[in-house]
Amino acid sequence: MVNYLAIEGEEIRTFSEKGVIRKGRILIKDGKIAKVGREIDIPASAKTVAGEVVVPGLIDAHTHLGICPIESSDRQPPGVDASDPVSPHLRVVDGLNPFDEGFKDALSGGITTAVVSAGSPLSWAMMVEAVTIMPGQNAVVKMNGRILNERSGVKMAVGEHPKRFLESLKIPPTTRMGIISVIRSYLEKAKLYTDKEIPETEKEKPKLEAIIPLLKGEYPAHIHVHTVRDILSVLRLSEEYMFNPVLVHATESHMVAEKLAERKVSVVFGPVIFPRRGRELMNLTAKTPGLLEEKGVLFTISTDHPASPIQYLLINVGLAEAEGLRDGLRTVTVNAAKIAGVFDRVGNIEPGKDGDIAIFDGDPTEIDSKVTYTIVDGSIEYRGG
Amino acid sequence: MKAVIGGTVLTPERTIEEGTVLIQDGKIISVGKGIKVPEEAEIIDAHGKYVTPGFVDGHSHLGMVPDGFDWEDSDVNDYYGPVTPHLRAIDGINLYDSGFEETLSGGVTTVYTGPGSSNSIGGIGAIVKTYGRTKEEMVIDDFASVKMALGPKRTPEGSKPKTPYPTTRMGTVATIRAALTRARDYVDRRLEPDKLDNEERMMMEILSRLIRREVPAHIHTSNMPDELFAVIRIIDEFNIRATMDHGFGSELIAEKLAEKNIPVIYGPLMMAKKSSGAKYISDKAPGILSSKGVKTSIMTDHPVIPGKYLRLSAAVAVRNGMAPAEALKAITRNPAEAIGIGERLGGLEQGKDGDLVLLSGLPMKIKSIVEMVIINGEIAYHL
Repeated sequence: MVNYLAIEGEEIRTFSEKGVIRKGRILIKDGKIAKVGREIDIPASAKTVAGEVVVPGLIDAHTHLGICPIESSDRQPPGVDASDPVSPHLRVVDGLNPFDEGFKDALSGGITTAVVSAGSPLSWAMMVEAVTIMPGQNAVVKMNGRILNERSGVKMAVGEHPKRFLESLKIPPTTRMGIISVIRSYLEKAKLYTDKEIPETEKEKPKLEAIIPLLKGEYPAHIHVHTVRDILSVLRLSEEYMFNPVLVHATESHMVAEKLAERKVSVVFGPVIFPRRGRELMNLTAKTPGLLEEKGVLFTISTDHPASPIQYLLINVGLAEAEGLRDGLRTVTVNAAKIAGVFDRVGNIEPGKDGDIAIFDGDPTEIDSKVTYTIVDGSIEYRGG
Repeated sequence: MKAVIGGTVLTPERTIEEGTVLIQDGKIISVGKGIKVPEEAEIIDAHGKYVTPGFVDGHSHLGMVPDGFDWEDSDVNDYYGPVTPHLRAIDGINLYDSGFEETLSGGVTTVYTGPGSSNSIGGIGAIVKTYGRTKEEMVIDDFASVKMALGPKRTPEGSKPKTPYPTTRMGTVATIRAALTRARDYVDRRLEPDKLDNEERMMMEILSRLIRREVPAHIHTSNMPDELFAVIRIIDEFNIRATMDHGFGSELIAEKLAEKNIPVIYGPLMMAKKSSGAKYISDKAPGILSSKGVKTSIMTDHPVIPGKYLRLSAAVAVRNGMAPAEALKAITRNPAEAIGIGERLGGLEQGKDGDLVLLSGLPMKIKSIVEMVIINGEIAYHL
């Protein structure tokens, strides 16, 4: 039997060529968007929901959802394996808890998809963020537990936090130079391995095989970075080895926005609401997204959940809008999907895309608007009051 | 003299459409509709805007963990020992911290800033405005409270405190009780000042002010609801004035707090739920507390949530069920009264300090912008 869900919206923001549709409808058939428009036929068997503002399900492109459980001890940072600072072969999907209550929180905020990254967020009681140079591979997951991509990129980290975390573990390298040189040496080794200049029996085979897709452009590196000096190092490295970097956090990215736009380097900015701890965060401002938008950088805004709770993704966006960002919703739908590499599946409302929808009772980025429905793969996963 | 005219004035209890606020010599001299504006008054046109009292952050560490610095420049927690009432926030506040300016830009005109929660009795907090013609003028009370903190204590590895720290909650409460008992004996002259060494006499002088109800205690409670009962016992036993700070789980005993008239300074909101007691953290708590009659304030705990986001924090409480009018009170009237400066701050009335905020829209909207902040009758911030 075919399963239909029809959505009626006073305003549908499709983020497709159809733009904004007033008093429109969406028909989802077996979990996929089948039709979008003002005058579309709805089969009699379809269940119908209605609401004010209908938007694509939201996407948070940098989280530790399900890998860094809440209520965990501050003394044992989860989500990061401290035994080896370079472990690109670890897969976050192997440590993911699909029953983490963060998934429900996410649905209550209209989020339907998230990138889960190895590493752990900076919590107040921790001295440094527990992150190594290459803590593992990201996954893209839906909030109904479905996994869109088990291996969506390699996470890396540069700058003060990996530096200090490694120092606390008494594992070198402990300088910026050292960290970049370690990344470079692995990229070089992976290149030689690809070219069969080092043997197939190389003991670091699993690591190198995790880096090869990066060199082939099959997935990006999501790189934790805050300051301009570290952003520049990442750019140098990515040009040298021709891989695709995504700058995560990117606190000072507005200071090099033109360069990023020119080189088509994308940014996952956030969280916006965060303590200015340490010099790396001194230039944190909610104005950054507006400036990146102005210069044409492909960017999104993220919560870094649990650093900022995932259900408040749109509060982070709304703050940026209050400080100059114009099209905030685009950043956490279309842009986030592109950056996460899943725009063929999610990110806007058009036929063929997954039936992932969030419905609000008012302006989605104003704080007192409520999510009335969150729909994933055509089924209602959250119903708000 | 300044006259703020034409705006929707939220006092915060009353709403006055097209209201006027007159400020002279730093103080509000009248508030209302149709007030005659003297010719010499400088006019600030607030038509189409909202005018509220300056926001008050009832619990912050502004200036004590300066922005952009790290732990080497953090001055909130001193592992000298579990009982250190004689440590004074004023000796550690950096008034040149850029955090003050940023916090001001969020409409926050006054903060309580003080020692952290490492010690059972941590020290003396201060009340500071976010603007003054001189830095000295910013400090309006350098002896505003005695900070206490529940919860088991731990010292960083390798540190050698003068007195060992208690390691259980019972131990923490016993430590506080012992110190207050001694202070009560000191007040009653059962404990002779000349029998004490200098440091202890200094401590007793400070704790005496608590026993004599001259200053309130700010009591940090952040782990478990049962901690809150211990706090109530201490407050009752020594008949001290106190606020319950953070208050995670306090909504579970809201009726009791209302009955005992203990104010809660709740927060921060939007917390990373990443500690062992985190299951009691709830952004719904301020709404529940206020609906049950508890005098509820909202804090940022700056720098945990930047002080600028005090109004945002109140709006998050609204999103989670708090009435907007109550949320505005939770960052104006209620904290001003809870921290003991209700006579000077917290509302727009004759005689109060000329501290007010002009907003482009309703205060509990994220897209309303703070356009101007007036402190002591002077324009301290302008968009």
